[in-house]
Amino acid sequence: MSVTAGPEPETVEPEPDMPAPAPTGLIVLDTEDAPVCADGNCW
Amino acid sequence: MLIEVWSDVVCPWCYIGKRRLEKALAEFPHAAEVEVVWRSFQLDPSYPKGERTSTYEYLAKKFGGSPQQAKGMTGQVKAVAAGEGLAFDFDRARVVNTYDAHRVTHLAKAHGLGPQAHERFLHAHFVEGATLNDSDTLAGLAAEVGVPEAEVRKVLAGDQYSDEVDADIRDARTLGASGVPFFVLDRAFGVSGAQPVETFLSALQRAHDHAAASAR
Repeated sequence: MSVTAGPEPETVEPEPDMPAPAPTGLIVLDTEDAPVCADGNCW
Repeated sequence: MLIEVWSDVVCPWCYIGKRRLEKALAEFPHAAEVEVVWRSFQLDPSYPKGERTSTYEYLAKKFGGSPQQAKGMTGQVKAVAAGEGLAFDFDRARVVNTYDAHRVTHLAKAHGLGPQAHERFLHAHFVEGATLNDSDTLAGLAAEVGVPEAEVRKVLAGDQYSDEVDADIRDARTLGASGVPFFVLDRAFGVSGAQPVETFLSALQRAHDHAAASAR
């Protein structure tokens, strides 16, 4: 099964507390610090 | 609603985030309309295939210090996991290259068993100390969730599903994921990291409202 990016998400009228969309059109919510593994570092 | 989650089977925050998303979905009134798809991501694609290292030795080499000091680094994650009902055992966990495990997960997905395989691999690594680059181990675990063992062995003997794994990793980059777990709802909203259950609930509601508004 091949996975490809779908169509660009349509533009959403931003709410007052809504962060600006990333260049991909994706709106990343709650970007405050949450634990992630990045660059091979989870600790 | 489609939720895509970029995750690695040796990523502790991915397993913790998975449990939190599941808890949020259990409280979400429209959960029946949600499909969760697990996408491949590799924390350390440069780790040599065929090798395996204890988590503590791997961390000691990566960050310096002794394996004993590295063990101290895992304490916080272990405690948070325990809070989610997950008994992580870093004494037994072995770091491996996870590319083949992801290929097998894609085979499982072709059988409609992707979520089951992903959960089984996470549990095997973090709780049972299974080595996820071993053909017998992968075939056995996949068979446990219903993937024909002979098909797993055939996939592992070749390069089937490499394109799918590579495409997932490429998509993560395209969507701007700087780490995992990375959750994407309807390709419209992103949530990064093992967020609290309330944050997932809020994101689910927002994506649901957005879809409802778009349909009008």
